[in-house]
Amino acid sequence: MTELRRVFNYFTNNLDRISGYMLEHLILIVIAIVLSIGLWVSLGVLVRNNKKAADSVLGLGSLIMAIPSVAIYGILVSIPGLGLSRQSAVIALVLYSMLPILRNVYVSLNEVDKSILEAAKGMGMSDRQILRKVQLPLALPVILAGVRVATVMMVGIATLAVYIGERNLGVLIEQGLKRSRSDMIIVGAIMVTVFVVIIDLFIGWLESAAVSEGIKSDEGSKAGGEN
Amino acid sequence: MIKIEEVTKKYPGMERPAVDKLSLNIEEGEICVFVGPSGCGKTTTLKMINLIIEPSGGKIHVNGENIREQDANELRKKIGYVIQKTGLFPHYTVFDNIAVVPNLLGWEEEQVEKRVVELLKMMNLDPDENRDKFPKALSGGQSQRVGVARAMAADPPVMLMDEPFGAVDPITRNQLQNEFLKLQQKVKKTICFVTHDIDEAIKMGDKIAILDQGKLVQYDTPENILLNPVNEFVEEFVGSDRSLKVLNLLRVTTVMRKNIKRVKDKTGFEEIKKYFSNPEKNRILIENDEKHVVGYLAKEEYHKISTAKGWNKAIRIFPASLNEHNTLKDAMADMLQHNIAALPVMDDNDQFMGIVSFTDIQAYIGEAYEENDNEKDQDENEVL
Amino acid sequence: MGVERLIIIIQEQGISLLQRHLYLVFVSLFFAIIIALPIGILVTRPPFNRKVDQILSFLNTAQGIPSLAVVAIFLPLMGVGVRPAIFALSIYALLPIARNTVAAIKGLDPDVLEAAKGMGLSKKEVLLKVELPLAMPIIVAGIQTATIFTVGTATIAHLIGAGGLGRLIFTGIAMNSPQFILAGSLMAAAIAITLDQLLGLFQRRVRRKYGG
Repeated sequence: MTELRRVFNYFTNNLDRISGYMLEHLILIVIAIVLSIGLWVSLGVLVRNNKKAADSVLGLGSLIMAIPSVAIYGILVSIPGLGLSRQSAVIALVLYSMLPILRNVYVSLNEVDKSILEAAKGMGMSDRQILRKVQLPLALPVILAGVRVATVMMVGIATLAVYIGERNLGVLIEQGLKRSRSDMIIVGAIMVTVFVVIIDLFIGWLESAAVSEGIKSDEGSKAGGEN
Repeated sequence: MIKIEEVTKKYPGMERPAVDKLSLNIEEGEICVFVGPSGCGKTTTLKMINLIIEPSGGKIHVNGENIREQDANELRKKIGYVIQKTGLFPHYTVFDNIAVVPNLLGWEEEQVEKRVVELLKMMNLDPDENRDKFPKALSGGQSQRVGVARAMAADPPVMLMDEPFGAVDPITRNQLQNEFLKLQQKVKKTICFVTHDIDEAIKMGDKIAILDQGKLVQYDTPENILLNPVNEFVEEFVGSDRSLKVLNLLRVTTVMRKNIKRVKDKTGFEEIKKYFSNPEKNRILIENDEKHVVGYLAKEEYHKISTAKGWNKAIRIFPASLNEHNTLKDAMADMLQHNIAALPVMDDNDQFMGIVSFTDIQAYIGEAYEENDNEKDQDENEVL
Repeated sequence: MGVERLIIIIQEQGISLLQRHLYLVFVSLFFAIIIALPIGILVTRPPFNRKVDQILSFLNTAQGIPSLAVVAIFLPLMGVGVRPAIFALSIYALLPIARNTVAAIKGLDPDVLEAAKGMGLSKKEVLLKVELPLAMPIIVAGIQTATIFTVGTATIAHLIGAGGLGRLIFTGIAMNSPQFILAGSLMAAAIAITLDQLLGLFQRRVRRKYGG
């Protein structure tokens, strides 16, 4: 029980620092996610009609995903000009989010019912209008799901970024390991877990809020006969 | 209104063109139906009119303008396009779906509001109930109606319809067809309609274009296609029951007889005898005290009666009546059902108009085919 | 030159660390598979199958827990060394395998299962002859995911004293030595990519064989 007491005390005594770490964690993720969405959604839109190009970039994304995050950090910091910096951390995060976001963008844009696209074209909408008003809105649920996966992944990878100089919630664990302080480790582990769950729920909420009523799947909305 | 000149579509690697030097003109305000077996090029031709498919050769003019000389998107905004699967935007309400083209054209909000409500009413859809529904909440028939409303939103003079009523059950399809024909009477659009169903073609078309393997085989009115098929292919495509199909094209008023003598059922036997002594008179109408026609007496039946008393047992009471808009097919069906050889025709105000009899129908159709055969024989003789 | 030094490091220390790394990965995967598969199947049987959606949801969320947290928590629990590391890695690898097993079986066409039942197959036969083969492609995909997760997590196993290629990387960062960092990073990347490609091929083979 003293263990629990120590953990609790550590938490209450260091609330300020911990909130600061959480904020850093959040900032890093927000920067990375905004860049990722901008970059990978654009790329997905660009290759949407080109299967060969799409396969290549998806293959690349898949390759990157397989590499341990620590290894990517290692390679990035070895590049002259980057080193132990926020830039390295952001680049690593953006690279990891490539596959979940890009794949979902590509697949969802191509899954839009062909008859809907044909009707849109037949009505005189330009390609760009079709993309903006029909394809992207219809693809949004799947794209957001990809963003959610990417963000959750990022929390974990960002935690490791303390080893290349970031000062976020990972510090608690890193220092705890270094100094064999189990209270720090436990507080750190719990904090990052809670953080991940909150982020996951938040984006889940965004998903429901952002998706049009017409494409949410729910039972009991099919009309019976007509009058 | 739509002028198709020597239009061809060839796909790389295909042996024969999908559409081969097709030429025809569609008059303003007419429904022209493209019909034919699978692969005949009907849908391809339709889609070349609004440049969804690029022609390989030939020219198409819509409303006097060459479609190639216009921006494709602008052209399409002026042509209504209805497809079988409707293609309604699932993320837009019914209102927003119908409003797509008007919004693209920059209409004022009030204009759009007025037009959408007007269209919903035209389609027999209650505006308040339906405007905020999403497509997934609509039945098949409702979706098709919204699809048509959407195509008509910007009031285009021309409409292209690709099997628009194909995806619903036969009862709904019949309803939709009837509603559309009624609508067309009001709006008089120039319509190009594709179907694989010859019965739908006959019902909907002012003119029918029969296509086979990319070529135009016959372009004619439904009556002529049925009465004068130009070759064996058309004959077979139309079906061996084409004489029955013709029945569906003709109104009962075509063969109706109007001036038939009417007598009361209490009339004297002698009067009837005198009337029937005229070889040309075959039928007498019986009316009741309120001067409503209730039945008829046929000469053959009359001759079977031996006594003056009870001659009115030979009267056949009309079990049903026809409306002036009914077709000969309706008449035949009723006659067969009620096992009676003649039926009265009433107008829309329920006033008696005339009589239609089985023999009259038989004579009319028979003569039409006889003329046909005579013409054919004549042509053949001339060639010889 | 830097490159020569890199190669020396790889030869002298890298190989043994690589061996340790692979040992950690394969042992953990082994435990993960033999635990996750039965659990995954169990979850789809009554009485658990009523809660299958919640369990799936839990597995999805649990997969998001940062690997550093999972590994680090074993220090106070079990101390340092290979044993706690294998525990941590096994648990982490469990999640994608269990999740995919559950999702795959849950997602099977109920008509197919009903047909099998109607043909007279016992519950066990349905599982072994119908459900598992059809679910195989997705389960293998789960194992593929688990493998690359484990290769990644094993790089931080060094932090609780289990060795592995992480040692080169972390030491390199501390010493500011690009050669150490790259030696560790490139080797870790290489085995990760290799294993991923191999499993990918295997997964496609399985998919072709079992349709689905």
